[in-house]
Amino acid sequence: MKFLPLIWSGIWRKPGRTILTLMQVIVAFALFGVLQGMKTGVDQAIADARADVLHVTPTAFGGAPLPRAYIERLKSIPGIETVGFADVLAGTYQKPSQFVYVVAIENSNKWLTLIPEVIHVGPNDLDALRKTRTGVLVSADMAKEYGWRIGDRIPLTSTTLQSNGAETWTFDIVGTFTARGTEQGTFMVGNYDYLDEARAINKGTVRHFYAVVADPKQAAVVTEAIDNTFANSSNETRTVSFKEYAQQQMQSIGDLDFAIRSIVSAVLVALLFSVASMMMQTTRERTPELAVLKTLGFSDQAVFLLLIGEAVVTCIAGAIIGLGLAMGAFPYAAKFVPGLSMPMVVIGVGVIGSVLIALLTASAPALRASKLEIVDALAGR
Amino acid sequence: MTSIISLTDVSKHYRRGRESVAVLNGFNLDIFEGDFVAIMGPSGSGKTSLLNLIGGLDVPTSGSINVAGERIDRLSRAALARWRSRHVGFVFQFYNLMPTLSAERNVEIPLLLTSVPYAERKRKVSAALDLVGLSERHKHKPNELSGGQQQRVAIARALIADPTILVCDEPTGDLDRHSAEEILELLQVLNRQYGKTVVMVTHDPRAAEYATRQLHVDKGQLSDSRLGTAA
Amino acid sequence: MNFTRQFSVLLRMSLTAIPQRLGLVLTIVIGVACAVGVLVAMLAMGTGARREAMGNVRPDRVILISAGAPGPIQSSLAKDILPLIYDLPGIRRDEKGNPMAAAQALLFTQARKKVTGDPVGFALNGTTAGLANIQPELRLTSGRMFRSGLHELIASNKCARQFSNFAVGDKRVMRGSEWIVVGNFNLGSSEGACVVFADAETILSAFRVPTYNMVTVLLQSPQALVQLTEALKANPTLRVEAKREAEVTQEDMKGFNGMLNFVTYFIGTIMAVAATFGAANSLYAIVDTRRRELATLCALGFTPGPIITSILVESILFALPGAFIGVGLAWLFFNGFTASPFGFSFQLAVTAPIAALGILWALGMGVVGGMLPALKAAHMPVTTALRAT
Repeated sequence: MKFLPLIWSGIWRKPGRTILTLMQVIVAFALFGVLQGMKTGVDQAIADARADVLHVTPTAFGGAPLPRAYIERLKSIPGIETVGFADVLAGTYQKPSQFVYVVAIENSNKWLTLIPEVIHVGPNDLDALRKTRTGVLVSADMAKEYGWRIGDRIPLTSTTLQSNGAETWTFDIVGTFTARGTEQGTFMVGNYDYLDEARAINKGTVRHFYAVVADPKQAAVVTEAIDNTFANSSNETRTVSFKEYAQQQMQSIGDLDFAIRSIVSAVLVALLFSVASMMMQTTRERTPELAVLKTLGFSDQAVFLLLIGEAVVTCIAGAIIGLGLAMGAFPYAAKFVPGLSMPMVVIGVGVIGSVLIALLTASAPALRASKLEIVDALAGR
Repeated sequence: MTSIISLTDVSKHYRRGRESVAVLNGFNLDIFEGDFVAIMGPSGSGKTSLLNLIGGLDVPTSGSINVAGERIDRLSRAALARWRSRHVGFVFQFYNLMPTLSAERNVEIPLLLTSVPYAERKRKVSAALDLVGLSERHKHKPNELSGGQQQRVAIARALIADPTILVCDEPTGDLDRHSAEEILELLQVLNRQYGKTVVMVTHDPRAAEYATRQLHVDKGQLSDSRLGTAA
Repeated sequence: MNFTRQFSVLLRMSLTAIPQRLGLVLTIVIGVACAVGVLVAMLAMGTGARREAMGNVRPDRVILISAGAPGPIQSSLAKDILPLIYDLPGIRRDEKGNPMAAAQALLFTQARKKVTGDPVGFALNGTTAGLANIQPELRLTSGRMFRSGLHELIASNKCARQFSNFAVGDKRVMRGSEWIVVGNFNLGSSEGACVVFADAETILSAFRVPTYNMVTVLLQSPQALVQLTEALKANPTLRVEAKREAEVTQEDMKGFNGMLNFVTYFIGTIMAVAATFGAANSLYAIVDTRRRELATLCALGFTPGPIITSILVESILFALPGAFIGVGLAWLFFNGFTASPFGFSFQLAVTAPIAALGILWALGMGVVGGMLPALKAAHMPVTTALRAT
């Protein structure tokens, strides 16, 4: 637009003031971006969570594990497609404070596609696991953290004793796995057969079944069916779908939504006031200049649009920079609050919001300036 | 000769608190195409108000003002603004350039209100700055120019849209002797060689000598009208 | 003219002109108020949560877990070492000469929320006799204590209030058998989380758990921990370590605390920065409006020192009301407000130290925001300013 140089020069009339105002807008939108990112991340996580994967565990955490034989009964429940199981060995590596968990799975092919969000194994790695009884697959993150490579032997100390009374379990790294979800996991994937054979107690038991239902819409029904099958037995189960987990987790962050809204409101109020004040101050100072534009033939509307244009350009620029900064902070903030993300919608909302802010704060001063009488303004009245 | 500016029975009243002060009362004036008119008079005489009315910056309380065949006293605010952009070029005592824009961008402003395309605009700006002798300083900002140079930029701006009349309010009021002469000579050139009608308000009798007609205004009345020595 | 005289003249001139600059001044006040308000509200969250968690903590209550376990949940203590633990030095004894100690097994099971019906986890604590000794703050408000050997439960009033089937007389089915709630209690003064107690042996056999998680004891005195730890060190085969209740609680809270602290200071700082920018902007504008006046004073002989100081003081004087308003609003809206993030439930506490911190924060904003404008004011080029229109 040919009026851009004029708008631009108006914005930078007082560079210091423009920068400070811009900073406030940037900070406000950065905060909005981070907070909104948290909320959208949470919503997204819930939406992405698989409703068709049911996690079956013993009803009392800390209580006795479930018999492995349950797998047959689970498979026979209508609606269930596949069932996999896993047990966990908790151990420490090198230091008693450095915990490493081994998720011991049955090495059947179903694990290639069962729950790739948590454990995604390639056929080669699964093969390697099959070939070595004491083999484990590690995640790239873990390998980097401990400096492990394929072929390394990893001794873990555990309170789960082996039949021979030993508390040290040795594993060989034979491959890698990934997780499609955000968390790479601080665990290794090992062989259930090895764990079950070597351990002293709880033989033939597992703590985790993963049942995949054919139709996600039937998840609730199947969940109840599973728990009913084993209710009133000596090994009751508790079945929760991955989606329910996500919802429960997010629910516990519940009140945070209210807190976020309050904070964003406070920020908005302060920003609106500040920007409005600056707009009023600036238009007041510029009346002589604006009068000259009018003498040159700029109509009242033209002056109004010019001032609004300046406000809009400034606010949009601040919003974009602020949201950009927020996105940049996500990797760091994700350590404390998981699952941050910034979908296009939020950016769109932010930009539109910035335009609204510009309009709200600049309309009144711009209108007043546009209506000024040339003669009075030129004379300094 | 046809009059290009015609004021008939023009009155202008201002409100000061509850009082209504008459600055011009039943004023009549004809200015002809190609005139270089100097309007003089003591402060408070109404000469500035007269200039404002002629230039379409203000509307009369009563009476008619006819410029180049158009009754500008009847135009709406928006129409008057449009009219100004096409028919009047202003030159002020304190230049009134946009401090944040370069000389060429300052001169360009009136053209932004027209549909003249970019390349053509650049050409016209160049030509205008050439005319006032400032082509080397086209990228300078006002704070990098002397008073006289700033005024020349202002004159270039006033000319760019090829206006019907040039309206100048104490154009040399803030300039030293030498610069003032340069400016007045420039105005004279514009008047004689390019046929621009110039209406100038001034305090300075020596400035008035560059004009072809001298008018004296006192207490809202035309008290004297004589041909200038430069006629 | 000396410093103080110049200073007071400058300050008076500026303050009397506030009505003309109301918009700019209010910007500072509101900006600071919002920043302080948010900070104080979030700090109140932290304080409330900590109060809640530490409310019943006693310096003479110690938790014994297996050596090396990060917490009670990962610890396991075999039944046969219990007598050895009870005999350790430093443990207080009651009138009958019994050690004030109880072994506890922790299990996490499910309950359903009353309002929404959503499943939520709660802690089931199977405890040996001695519960009354080690948790004297437990007061039964209805019903009675459970009897050993029976499927009886007592639940805190928090459970009864928030979840279904925890009132006296209610029955719950766990591990295939029916358990009955025989009493409700309060744990000291704080609201507390939902806790359910039952007889240890019954729990252990019902859930087929072989070992206890921890032993909670009362010491003869807080300093007696030294004795206890020495005795444990001298007996390494026992593989037990002792931690003060405070320590265990704080470790439990670490994750939550970490997140809350990050959020509080991250957001608090961001808002403070924005408010400081706003204050600086407004002060610059005010100084601009006073260009002529300041230049004239300079020409008359006023020195930079008083000018800079007066503007800094002005900035602080504008920030302070903002601070008070912020603290006031936070107190008004959030003090006593019950929040339930992360399954934790507590009341926000806007305390005096928090308010003081908020005010200091505001002072900081005032000083930092006013610094540059104050410097600019003192170094105004006299001649150009005097020519200013």
